[in-house]
Amino acid sequence: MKKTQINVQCRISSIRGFSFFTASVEEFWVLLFLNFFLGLQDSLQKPSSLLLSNPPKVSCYNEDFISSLPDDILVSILSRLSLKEAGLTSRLSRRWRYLWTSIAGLDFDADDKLSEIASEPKLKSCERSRYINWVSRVVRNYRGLTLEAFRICFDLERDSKSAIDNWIKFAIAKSVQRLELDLPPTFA
Amino acid sequence: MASKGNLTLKSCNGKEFIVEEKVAVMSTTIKNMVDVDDSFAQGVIPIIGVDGKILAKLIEYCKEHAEADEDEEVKSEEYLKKFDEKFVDELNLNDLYDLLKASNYLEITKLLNLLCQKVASMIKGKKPEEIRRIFNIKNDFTPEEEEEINRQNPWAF
Repeated sequence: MKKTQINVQCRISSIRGFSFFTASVEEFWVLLFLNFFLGLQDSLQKPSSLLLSNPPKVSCYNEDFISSLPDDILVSILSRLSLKEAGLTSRLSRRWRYLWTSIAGLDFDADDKLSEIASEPKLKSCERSRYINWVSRVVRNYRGLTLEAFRICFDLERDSKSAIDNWIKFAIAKSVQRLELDLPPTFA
Repeated sequence: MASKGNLTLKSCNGKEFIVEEKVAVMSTTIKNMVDVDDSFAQGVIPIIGVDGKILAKLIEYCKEHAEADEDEEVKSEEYLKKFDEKFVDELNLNDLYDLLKASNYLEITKLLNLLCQKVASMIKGKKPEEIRRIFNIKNDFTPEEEEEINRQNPWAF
């Protein structure tokens, strides 16, 4: 398969720690309070992560502490799994239902399907439209603000061009940092 | 009071730890305080919401990594990798959660990444029922919602 790879580099600026610009010792307590309070405000927007501001100290394994972690930590955990594994966690509970839609990267890996097609070519056209539906569906559901990586890898043809164009537009709108299109030579 | 080059960190339950500045500034939050005003280095830095047990673990981690950053010969990459593995393997679930929250608040990025990776490895390859059992997650979907979710699966090929 011919690899057409485009790298888009961009920086995401950090907004953390902004309240420490001009702190003196006297201001320290106020700022620490503010920093803490802002964290609490974040939690208030996500009611289930309220425990962040007041960590439970009980040593007991019967409670669901993981679900009380803030969204950004849970999303960071899910971002280390494959799209399928992250998506599967939507079945855990209401808290987890949409977390997967903000994972840092979208890797539409379908190696197993490609091997199936290689051994049975008549599956190709059917699997091709399933792949396109899959990517388009995930893209429609995606709620993250930015994307670290976006990877397409399938035996697609030129008649899928408009779908691919839409995916690239989506990725660029999400300020994607690494865009990888792995398409067959026949596509070019 | 901490001597020059050292900082005093105080946990929320009043335990004080004197640590080298290079260890403490592995936390971006503490680094920002110290960078802004030297006088923080003289006083006691309160670490809100983090108890003595968790603060001790954080310091243990930062100490190893700060030393390795300073001299790669003494603590090689391989040594650190082993240290990291042992560090996360010895944690129970509660410590894991407390450390996740504390390293997020104190912005100790390396540790936060390590802990997120640990939790991800506990989820990887498991069915939803198994994941619920490991983390005591309560399934609060109604049967109708559950059916809908199982039918839609927008993430699945």
